[in-house]
Amino acid sequence: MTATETRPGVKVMTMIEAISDALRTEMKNDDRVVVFGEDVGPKGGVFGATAGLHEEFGETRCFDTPLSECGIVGAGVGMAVYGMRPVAEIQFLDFIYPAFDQIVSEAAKMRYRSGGEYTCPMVIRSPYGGGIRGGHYHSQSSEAYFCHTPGLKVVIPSTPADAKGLLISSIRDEDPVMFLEPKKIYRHGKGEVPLGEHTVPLGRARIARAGTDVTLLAYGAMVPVCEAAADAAAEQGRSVEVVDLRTLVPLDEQTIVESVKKTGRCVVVYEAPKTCGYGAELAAILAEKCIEYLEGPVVRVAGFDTPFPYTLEHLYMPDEKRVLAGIDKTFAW
Amino acid sequence: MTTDLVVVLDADGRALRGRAPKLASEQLTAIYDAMVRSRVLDEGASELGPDELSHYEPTHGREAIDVGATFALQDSDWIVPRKHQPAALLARGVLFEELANAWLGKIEDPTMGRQLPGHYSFRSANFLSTSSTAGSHLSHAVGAGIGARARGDDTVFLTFCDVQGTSSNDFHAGLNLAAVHKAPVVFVVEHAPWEASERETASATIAAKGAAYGIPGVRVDGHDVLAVYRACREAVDRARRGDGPTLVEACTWLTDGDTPAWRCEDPIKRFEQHLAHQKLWDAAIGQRHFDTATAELAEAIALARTAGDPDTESLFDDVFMNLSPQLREQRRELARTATTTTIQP
Repeated sequence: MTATETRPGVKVMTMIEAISDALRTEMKNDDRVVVFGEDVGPKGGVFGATAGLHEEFGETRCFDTPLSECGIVGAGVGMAVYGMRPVAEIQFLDFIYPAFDQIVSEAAKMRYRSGGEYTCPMVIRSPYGGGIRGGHYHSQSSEAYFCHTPGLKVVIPSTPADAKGLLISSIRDEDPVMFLEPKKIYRHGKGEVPLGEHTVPLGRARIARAGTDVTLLAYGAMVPVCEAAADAAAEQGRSVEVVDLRTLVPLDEQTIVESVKKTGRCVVVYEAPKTCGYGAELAAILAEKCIEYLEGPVVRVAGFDTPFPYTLEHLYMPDEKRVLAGIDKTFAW
Repeated sequence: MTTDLVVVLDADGRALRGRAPKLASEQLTAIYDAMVRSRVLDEGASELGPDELSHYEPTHGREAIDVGATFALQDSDWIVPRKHQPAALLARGVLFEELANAWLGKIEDPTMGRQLPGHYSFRSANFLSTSSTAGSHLSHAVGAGIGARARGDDTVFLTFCDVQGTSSNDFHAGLNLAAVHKAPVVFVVEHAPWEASERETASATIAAKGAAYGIPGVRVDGHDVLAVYRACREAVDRARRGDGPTLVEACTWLTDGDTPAWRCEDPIKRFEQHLAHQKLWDAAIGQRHFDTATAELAEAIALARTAGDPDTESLFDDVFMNLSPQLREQRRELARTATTTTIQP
């Protein structure tokens, strides 16, 4: 651990350390919590999120599985219906598609199709997103597929403290949660993280930065990009509000709509392909709920409708310049 | 190929020497009654029109498999079913009335009328909610087994699929994971004649696939309820001891020499002959079982027809534990436009 203690009850950690801390905290707190997946055992996971857990809690609480995403998630569904609190790791979100049936048709439907007789309180953790030179199979942001699925919650942290608090809340949640981790910022930027018990409620957005002229809606690794853009815009005399959604399902519409009513302008920033991405849903909500407050079009700054590139990754990922250009568009009216 | 087949009863219903499982006469009668009820259920279903019962797959011919396997369990053990397994539920004491409510999607249906008929969920019987897919539930049994062991429970998980299910990704994922983790699971594959096996597998038997996973594979005569019971009971005991999973192939497609043939045999008739040898059955006793079940089913269907549909607002329940703000809003919208609704806008 490179985390350092600054003041009592708080440590400065990276996001990956905060995730590890959340898992350890909940495994100590609740012996129904079981962590499993490919290489999460003695090896500690491909990014180290489960480092030390196998040693500390033993083989029954933290174990390796065969390389089969449908098997990992399917087994998690079985553990959850039996009364455990499974936390499955899928090494990269790009590899989750073989488990899609288990997530969409089994985990997400168990409560509904059984009339509440059986429930599926499981967490599927998976690193997602670009910015690590990972190419097509280690960079995708496929959150929209899961947001389109009734019965699933979708959570994406953007700070170490939120990563811990949201992960603990996800593990304690009575419904299946896709917990998507922006791997680009796993080790970028440390932050203070409360030690021990720390929860952040699902369904509450965070005003990452207050402003009055334009709202940026973002999540995951796009939050720091938006914060940098907000700094740059401030130099041009524009006051930018950055809203970190934190959970895409359930969505905190109230905070978003209130922010846009206040600023009258909105740029939605996400790194997934633009068409039918989560930003489209946000734009539709704003059109339904507060179109009369808008002084310009809701602008989407997103990834392109291409497969995720390797060499040209820097062109694909929304960056500060593209966000600023998006802000300009909202002022062009 | 038939030499390795587990058989207890010969064609005349006589138990082969030393093969009969130790079952009290009450248990034998209970097994018979569950098989009869399943047959009666098929007949009752055929009398309902498609408007009432949109979907039904008869159990006829495979009663011995679902009933024999279920009787090998303790009550605390779980069934992780494939679709259309009412016989397993009847073997666990679920009533016709409960099945009829599920068929008609009525308010008393535990699934609130949310699933096609045949996709049962009965927590009261430790019977997991059913999916439509052929194999996705197999890994649920494995995960539940791993979870039970982590908790120190000795629960065993019995799961079923058909031959098509053995082609699914989940069959491989489930059996492989179960074998690696010695999960307490019994996989029963119903090898029925109407499944074109040559289209699904080039393997001579399904049981042979067990060897590839490093687990026992057993073939059993699927018309012989005591053989199914015997093979599953051994597998259940093995699982409970911690020795891991077993693959049981219950055949109603048997090969005589080189010719695959559907031996059109009635598992109930064979068992009746056996019970007759035990002085537990005669034609009058049999008729009583059929008549009682038929009358009970007719009453259950009549009752279900008078039961109400699920409440309108239940459409939005059980998506999550609590209504999300979005679902609350959609419920309000429906309340404004629906012609019949119990929802308060």
